[in-house]
This record gives sequence, C-alpha cells and structure tokens, in this order.
Amino acid sequence: MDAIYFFLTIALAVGLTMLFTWFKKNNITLKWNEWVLGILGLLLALFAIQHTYASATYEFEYTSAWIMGVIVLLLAVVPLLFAARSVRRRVDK
Amino acid sequence: MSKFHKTISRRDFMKGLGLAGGGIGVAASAPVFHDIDEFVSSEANSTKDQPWYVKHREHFDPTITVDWDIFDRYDGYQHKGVYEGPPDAPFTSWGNRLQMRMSGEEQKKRILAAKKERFPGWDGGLHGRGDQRADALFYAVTQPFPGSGEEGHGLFQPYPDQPGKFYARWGLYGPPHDSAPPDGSVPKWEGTPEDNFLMLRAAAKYFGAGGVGALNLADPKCKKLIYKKAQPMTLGKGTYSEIGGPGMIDAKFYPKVPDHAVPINFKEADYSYYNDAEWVIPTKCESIFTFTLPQPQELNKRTGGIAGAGSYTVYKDFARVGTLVQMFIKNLGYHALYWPIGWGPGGCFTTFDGQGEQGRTGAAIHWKFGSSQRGSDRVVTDLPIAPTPPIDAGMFEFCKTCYICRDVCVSGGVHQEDEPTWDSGNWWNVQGYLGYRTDWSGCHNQCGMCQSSCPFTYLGLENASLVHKIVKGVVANTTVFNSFFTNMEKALGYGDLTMENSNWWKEEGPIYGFDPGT
Repeated sequence: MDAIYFFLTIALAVGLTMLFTWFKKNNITLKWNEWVLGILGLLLALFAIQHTYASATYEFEYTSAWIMGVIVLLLAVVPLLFAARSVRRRVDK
Repeated sequence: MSKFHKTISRRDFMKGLGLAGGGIGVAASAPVFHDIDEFVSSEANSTKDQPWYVKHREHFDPTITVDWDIFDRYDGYQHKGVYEGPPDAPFTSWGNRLQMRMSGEEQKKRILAAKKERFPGWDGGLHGRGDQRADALFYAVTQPFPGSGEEGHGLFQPYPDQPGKFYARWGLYGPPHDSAPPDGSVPKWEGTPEDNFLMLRAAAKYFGAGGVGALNLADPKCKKLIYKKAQPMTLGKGTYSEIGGPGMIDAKFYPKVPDHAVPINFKEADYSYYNDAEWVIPTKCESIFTFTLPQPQELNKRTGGIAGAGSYTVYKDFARVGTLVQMFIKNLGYHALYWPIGWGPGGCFTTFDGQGEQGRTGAAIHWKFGSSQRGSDRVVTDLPIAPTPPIDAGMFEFCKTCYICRDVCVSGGVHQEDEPTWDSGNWWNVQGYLGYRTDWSGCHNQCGMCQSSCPFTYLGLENASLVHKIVKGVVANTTVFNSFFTNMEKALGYGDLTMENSNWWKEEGPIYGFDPGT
C-alpha cells in the first residue's frame, strides 16, 4: 500500500471518530439525506485525492491529475456543505 | 447557545493531543528530505533500491571476513567450460563429482525418502516432484539449457560451424526431450477441460504470458481462423524468420521446410507433418490455447522516446513463452503444435478468445492492457481445453466515435472511415466481417502512436486512477457517454508521452519492464 493511503486511512479514522464523538456529545442525529450527502461528499473527496495521486505518480498525467482533481474536490464540497447546513439549521432551532 | 460554540473539555483536549502526538511520531520516523534531489539520491532511493534496515558497508568489505593475503583467483574448475577437477582429483567431470559418494539414482531415492518423512501422506509422483503437472513444468523450464537432456536436446543448440553462436530449436513439436510424449512412454495427464484451462493459465503466466484464452478448433468456424496456406515455421516467403535464423528447424529431427507456401489441411493423422505438398493438422487436435503478451507500458507509451523498444520486445518473448507452453503440454502427454506467431492473424484470435475486442487500429484492444499488447499467439493441441467466449466491454463500439488513433496516425494506415466496414477492397485484409481494417500499404508499423494514444492504454494499471475503471464500466454498459469521454481524454491531456517526466533510466523498474499493477 502506498504511504499516502496509509496515512489517509489513519486520518480518516481519526477524523470520523472525532466527528461522531462530537455528534454524540451534542445529541446530534443525522437524517437519511444528510447521511447520503455526507457519504457522497466523502467519496468524491477520496476519489479526488486518489485520482490526483495516482495520475501524477503512476501515469505521469499531470494535467489530468490537477484539473480533474480540483474539479472533483470542488464537487465534493457541495454535498458536504449542504449536509452541514442541513444539520446546522436543525440544531439551531 | 449554539452547540457549535461549546468549549472543549480538558479530557478531550488531552485525547486530541495524544492523537496528534502519535501522528507526529509516525511522520518523524520517516526520512526527512529537504528537496527532490536529496530525496532521489538518498539511501532509500539508492542504486540498490533497498529498504532502510539494509545497511551498506564499504566496498570489498562484505559480512564474511576476507583475508586478502590468502584470498586469490580460483583455478576455474567446475566453471564455464571447464567442469573438471584438478589433475589429482578422484573424479574427472562435474557429473562424476556430484556422484562421488552416491549414485544419482540413490540420491534421488534418499531425497524422496526425506520428503516423504517430512510430509507424511505426500505423493511424490513419478520423479519425486509431485504430480505430472509438476514434472511437466520442471522439464519445460529446464529444457532451455544448451545441450541439456540426451544428445543435446536443449532448446538452444550451437551452430556446428560458428563457435559461440546458438540457434533456437523450436520446431513443430518443439525439441525432443527426456519425457517425450506423445509416444506413450508417459501416462497422459487426465483432467477436465475446465481444470486443464486453469492449469495452462497458471503455467503460461508463470512462463510470462499476460492473458490467456482458448478456442474450440473442432468448430468449423474456428478452422476459418487458420491460414489457408503457409510456409511451415517461417514468417517470410522463401526465408526463415529472423527469430530463428537459418538453423531454426533442426534437420536431425524435422524434415526440411519447403521453400514455398503449402496448403494447411485438417486430416486424420497420428502426428502433424509437413512436406512439399501440404501441412497437416490432425483432426484430433481440437483445441487452441492462446496467450497475449503485454508491452511494457511506460516505454510503449513514450512514442516521444523509445516506444519501439517497448513494442517490439514482446516478439523475442513470443517464441520463448510459446515454446515453454508447448513443452509443458507435451510433457503432459499431448500434442502441442507451435509456430511463433503462426497459424493465423494474432488480433483475430484475441477477438474470438475473449481477451479483447477489435479496435480501430485493426489490432485487438485487451480488456486489461488496452492497445498495449500483442497477440494472441496460439498453440494447437489435443489436450481438452474449455474454450473461452468472446467478450463485449464496449471497446469496439467506443472506437466508432473516438478517432484518436486515426487522428494521430502519421501514415493514414488506421481505418479512415468513421464506421466499421465489411471490406476494404485491399487483398491484404480479411473480408467477411464488419470491422476496422488497417491499410498495410501505408502503415509505417514502427511509430506506435496509435497504440500509445488509445484511451484504453494507460500506465499503472491497477495502481492507476480509479477514473479508468469507472469509464470502462460505463462504456461497457452504455454508449451515451462515449463522445464525452473522448473529449475528456483530449481535454485532460491523455495520450502518448515523451521521455521527459520519466525517471525510467534512474528508477528500478519492474521485472521485464512490465508493471502488472498489483
């Protein structure tokens, strides 16, 4: 396994643990649409990282690595923002 | 107050500190590099490409202790053409030395007894190596030694009148050897056609094949893939192929090759044979085993570089892999008729054997290797093998709207019409199928730009970006996005490469230059 994926896995595990611990502490439960948006955003973000790394490292395709990586990362931000906003609205009520 | 602004507790703070500290500790254990040059030249990336725990010593100071006052040049006995002991030795040859204390037969018995004691219940088979498949593999890979076996039946034999030069003795049935079916001296291997295919796949990949397939030669349609006529065992009319050289067919074991093409006929016969009138394939040979060889991607993609080396390297391997497969099948007790890249057109076999589909370049696009492969090469045999069906992965359809290889083609040799055609009007193309045809009168045959530019050809394979698998999956199921994918291929700069941005000369590449991506 490449080192980046190893560290990414650790970061993901730690980050998600912290996030869900914080949810639990604040009695926040997610609705089904927030789950879908969150998972979609996460998958897109991971895909962006994998694409950028693999395209640059193994394929020597730097144009694709950066252009597509940035585009997909921006696409990942959208559902995550929607999910975050939905949660925030509900919690602030 | 909003829960988003609550202060963190001391416990959570310490927990976070511990996690951060662990991460920093892990990161600190990695070597620190200040720039790329330092990284490239560091121990981890030295010429030996070894891990951090392997320490280097001074030159000529290995872990054994050497007394350089005593250590001197070895006499050379037992090496390189000497293979004899000193004048006062109690033996006269390498073989005799090995049997100084015990005969070869007794050694075999002793080894077998030791193995059976260590592995109770294990069946050593005929020769103490396991079942017949193990023997077949052993004899296949030991044959290439020059002069091996009785009467020098090795794959490579010296020219009698040209010292130091060797010719490869692959023949219709391959070189004779110790376990020499199909003369009945060794029981035939019996397996189901499905198991036989899996067995051949394991052996062929071990020998160096990238992908494998099988066809049912008993089917009249399959017979149409075989050439109508050919000059046996050669690639060019009236001449022996450059692969084998003038000594390719050993006159001691095989009849002289006719100097013209003869019809290939399917007939009832005990053995395959050729003469000045015909070349016969026995009808009992009902299977064709096929294999493709992937081209080393990183070279093959670099048409602005030594792509030619990446492309043509597989030709030297076809005969090697094919002959090893041939000998393996023979050692199982079956006929194996092999002729390097012979019998019929390669891409044709790949299209029918399930390894790929025909592409616009006229060659096949492999489901895994893309256009960066050559094959399929083929071994005709009477070993029952379960045939593999053709595939549909959307590649043939994709070529209808892609045109990238046609656009980069220097000569115009790539199929020029937008749609596939039923014929080309050229005598060098096979008629009777709706597909793509190469204009061989124009193709420069050495630029490699079509193969390298194909969207299905990319570096890294399994390590590459997931986008390729996603695209392949979509393309295999719908044509709706084909044009979009083609445009993205161009917009994102995919295609063939130059030798720039490559550390090929500095990095320790994969074996044979081919990265299986696993």
